[in-house]
Amino acid sequence: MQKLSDVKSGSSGQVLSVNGRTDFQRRITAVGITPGCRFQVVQNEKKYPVLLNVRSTLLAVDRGDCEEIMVEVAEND
Amino acid sequence: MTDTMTIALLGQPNSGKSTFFNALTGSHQHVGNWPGKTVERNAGTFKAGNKIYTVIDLPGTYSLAANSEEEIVTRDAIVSGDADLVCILADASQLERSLFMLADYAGIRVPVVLLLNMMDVAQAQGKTIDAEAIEKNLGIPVLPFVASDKNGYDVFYTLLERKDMQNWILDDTKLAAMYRKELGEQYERLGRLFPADGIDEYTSSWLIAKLAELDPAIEKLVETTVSPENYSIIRKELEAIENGSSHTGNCKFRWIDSILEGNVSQSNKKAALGKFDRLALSKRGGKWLAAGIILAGLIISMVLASPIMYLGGELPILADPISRWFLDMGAKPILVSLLCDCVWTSFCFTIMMCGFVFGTTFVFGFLEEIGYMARISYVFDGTMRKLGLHGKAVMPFLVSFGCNIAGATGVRVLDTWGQRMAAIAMSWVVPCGSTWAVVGLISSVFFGPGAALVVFLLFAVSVLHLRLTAGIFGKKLLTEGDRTGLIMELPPYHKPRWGSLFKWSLNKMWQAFQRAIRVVLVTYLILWVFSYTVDGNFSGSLLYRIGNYIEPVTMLFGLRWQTFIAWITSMFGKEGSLGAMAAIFTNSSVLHAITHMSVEAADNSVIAIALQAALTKPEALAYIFAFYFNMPCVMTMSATAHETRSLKWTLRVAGYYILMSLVLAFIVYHISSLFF
Repeated sequence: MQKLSDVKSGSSGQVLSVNGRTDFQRRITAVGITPGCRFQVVQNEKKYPVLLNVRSTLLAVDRGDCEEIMVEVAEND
Repeated sequence: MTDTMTIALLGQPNSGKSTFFNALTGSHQHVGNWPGKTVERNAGTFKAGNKIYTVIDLPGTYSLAANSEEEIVTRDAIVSGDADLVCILADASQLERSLFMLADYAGIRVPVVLLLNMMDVAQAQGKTIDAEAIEKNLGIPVLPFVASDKNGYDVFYTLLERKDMQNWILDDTKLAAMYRKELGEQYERLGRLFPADGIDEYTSSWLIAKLAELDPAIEKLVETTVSPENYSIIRKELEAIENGSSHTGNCKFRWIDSILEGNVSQSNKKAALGKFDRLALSKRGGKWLAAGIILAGLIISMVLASPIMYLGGELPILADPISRWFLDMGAKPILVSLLCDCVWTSFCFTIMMCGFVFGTTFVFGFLEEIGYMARISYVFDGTMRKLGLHGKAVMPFLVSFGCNIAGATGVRVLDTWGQRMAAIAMSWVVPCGSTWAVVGLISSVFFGPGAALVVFLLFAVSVLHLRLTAGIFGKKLLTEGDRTGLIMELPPYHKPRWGSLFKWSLNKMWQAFQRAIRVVLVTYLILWVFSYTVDGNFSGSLLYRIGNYIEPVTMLFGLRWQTFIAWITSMFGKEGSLGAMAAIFTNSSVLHAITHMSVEAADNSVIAIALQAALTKPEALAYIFAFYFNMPCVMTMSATAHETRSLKWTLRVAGYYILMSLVLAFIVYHISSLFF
């Protein structure tokens, strides 16, 4: 288990839980990030939002917010 | 059988909703605001068969949660009873995520149809979608659709003819069962506390889900419906809920999966960035590319603005023959002056300004529409975060380089009022196109090649100013709830639809014109009263006398009475400042000169000589700073007040800018006096 903000570019996996403020949870749910969904980190550069693919959508999510999203990275990727 | 019907269009951003709306209604559109809100309300009509349909284009939001004003407006509009039918658009190429809106809708008992838009894009991606099977699962009509192809609209019109519309209620039994399973006993307990049949158009399971998501507006609705005892139990139940949105969101997507299962075949292509995106989003090149494209965009927007500005600049020429004609007819000179110098001039000036609004709106609208704006927001997110905002707030700043009026209207992409107000307050420091025209002239007259240094200094001070503004206003305006991070979809690149983009920009320009003309008229009237003289010589005017009288005070800031008046007129319109100065130095009518100036560029040499004779270098610098950092024009002020619905904050920000410009002039004047 690790934070989404720590996942390397190119890795993919599954979201385990979404924490943080309620309004953040509502927003992030509406764009498709929910526990159980699969994701692929497309680009993760320091000082930039995390770019990831979720449900065939390219999303940019604030780094700080990504610390609230716990994920499991698939081993053989 | 009625012969009118109202349809509300609902869909996430980038679902093709506006394309559909524009194609349906064509030129029969009406743009306004939702009552008491800053949210734009687009409505239109069309005729099909022998019925007239009213279409309401609801704001593009990702869900029906109460996160923003847009979402609350959307929800209220759906259940208000105004709409006979809701039409949800989903992007077929991203169907799963796109159907979240439908899942969030399930439980609202208003007839609904689902349009699977962009079927062509989905097909090109190798996806096949079985719309009939989806229709069977949902129990409401489902149309495969391509909104950009008008030839396929007949199926939609035929659908509207059907007589069984009352039955198109989305059944939420399956979703309710999922909520029950996910929330456990709490679901049952909550359900017992209010009517089993729900409240108004909402079913009880929809209400339970929204309560679990801690939706404040729904809590209020429940509070006003149930008994106080029951409500206090509900409140207690809600306190025990953790990560409610995650739970219900999970159910919604599982429900979507159950609807789509077996009916959508995906190609197993791995997602990767395209060639252009690898550069546009890269750490090294992304910002440079964005800067280059923005610069090119600003140049293009000036080119687009030029015909309109030319018109606004040439029209004042008519003032002379008109006034002569009136005078020949025996009209009183003071009335002729009022009409020609004040009313006509403000009309022409407003037209000129609208050129800027059109050009910048068109160019940045283009960048938004093709999908590049989201990339710019991504690369500048870090910069915006330093100001307490996030990447989406970059738009008003960029647009302001062309025109602050258009910049103020660029904040609609932001979620909260605090973010919008703060972004506008900060973007006021961005110098618009006309600011540079004046700064360029004066600094090159006085400093020759050293003008580059002046410009550099202005930029450096701008950054400090911005930091200070962010500190002062950010603290007040950006509460905990306003400091949200970036959550943004980067849509696939689209081809622009030139026609609707053009129409949209014209519309924006017209709106800006209507708002501005009143403000400009009033301010010009004031300026006219103060500068009116019987013989046309400026030295006889009130403004001249007041200016001379208070010069000892204004000289504290390094402003001679002439430059002080030019500084004041810069609030009416930045390029007006140059004209005012020309008039003062050539002793002619100030108002007349304001619009003439930008046309009669030949006069620049006259001003240059007059300026050098009248001002010292520190005084010139003081003026440049006072002018540059002064608030943008009154039209920007009115646009800001309109966008934020807060005259109080607009005036506060304006007062702050006026004060800061004098403070900076003071500092620059006294420091530079030591050197020159």
